[in-house]
Amino acid sequence: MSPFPLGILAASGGVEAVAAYDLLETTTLASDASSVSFNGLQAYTEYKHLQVRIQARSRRASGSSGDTLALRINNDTGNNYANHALRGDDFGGFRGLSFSVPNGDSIRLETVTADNAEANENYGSLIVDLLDSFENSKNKTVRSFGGRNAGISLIGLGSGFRNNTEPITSLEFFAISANTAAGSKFSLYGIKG
Amino acid sequence: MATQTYIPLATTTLTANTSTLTFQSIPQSYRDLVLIVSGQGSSDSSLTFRANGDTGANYSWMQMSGDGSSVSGGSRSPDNKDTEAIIGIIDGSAVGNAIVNFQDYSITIKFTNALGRGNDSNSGVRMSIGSYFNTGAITSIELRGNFGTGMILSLYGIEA
Repeated sequence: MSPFPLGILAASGGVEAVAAYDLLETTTLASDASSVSFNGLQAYTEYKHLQVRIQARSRRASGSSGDTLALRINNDTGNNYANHALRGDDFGGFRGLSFSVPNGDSIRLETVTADNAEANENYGSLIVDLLDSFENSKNKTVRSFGGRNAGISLIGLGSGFRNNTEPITSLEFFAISANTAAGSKFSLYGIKG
Repeated sequence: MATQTYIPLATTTLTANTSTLTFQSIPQSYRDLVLIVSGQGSSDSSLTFRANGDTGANYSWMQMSGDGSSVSGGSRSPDNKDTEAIIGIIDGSAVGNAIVNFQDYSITIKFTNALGRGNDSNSGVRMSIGSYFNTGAITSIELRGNFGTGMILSLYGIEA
């Protein structure tokens, strides 16, 4: 089939669409940092869900080609989180794995590329959805999808939980073994509902 | 200040079976791209991509699938790169879909990753990450697979 240039949009009609997916904030690290935070999120209560799109790398220099990216909500450092993960990697051939962390002090999202792996240009990718972010009657649930092709390659789905119904006012992302590397990007989006 | 994004860039409905199609002249004003593929293939295949017409061994991928009875998967590691990267699945006997997120495609300090999820009612579900080991901004994406008549492919841009 011949290539086609962009701009060939299908004709459509009917109900007038309302924009429902907005970029709210982006942080791209100019230097290494211990964490990346989004604060004052109560300003975004017109949205129903939040999404964070991440390209990140850890300064972990030994022990693994990856490092787990974790999330804390509303600066809560207590053991008020749980998560499950379904994961495939190529450690000695394909492996399918399942993990859980009950009563953790953060939500373990998925692993990103570490310095211990090869090229500096190699980052891990993650998409994190925080559902019903501003409801005050539901404990908060998070889903994540991410992976990397570095050292031991990995792809995974995660489910996270915070045992608290308060609306989300802040998010803190951090790699658990080392600083997050310069160039890492965290973009926050709001989804109306 | 919120910025409306997830902007439709192109969509096409296939009028014949084909094994390749290419999105060209992709604008650089976005940070991520989302590709949605929907429909039934002409036969079973993986959905793969190449960037910028690069046919060299510059791609790595990892995928995991479930078909209702077992889990399977595979990879081409960065030490054994491929000439294309798996990002989804196409089913020749059932309607399915794939949603693929190309992240930081326009950023020239990073390789581009494509997080893909494929779903269909016959052969199951697959998640994958395909990486293009080149820091050049992606201006074209060639999609490869056994695409069937009637399949719809749409591309969206996301600012950051």
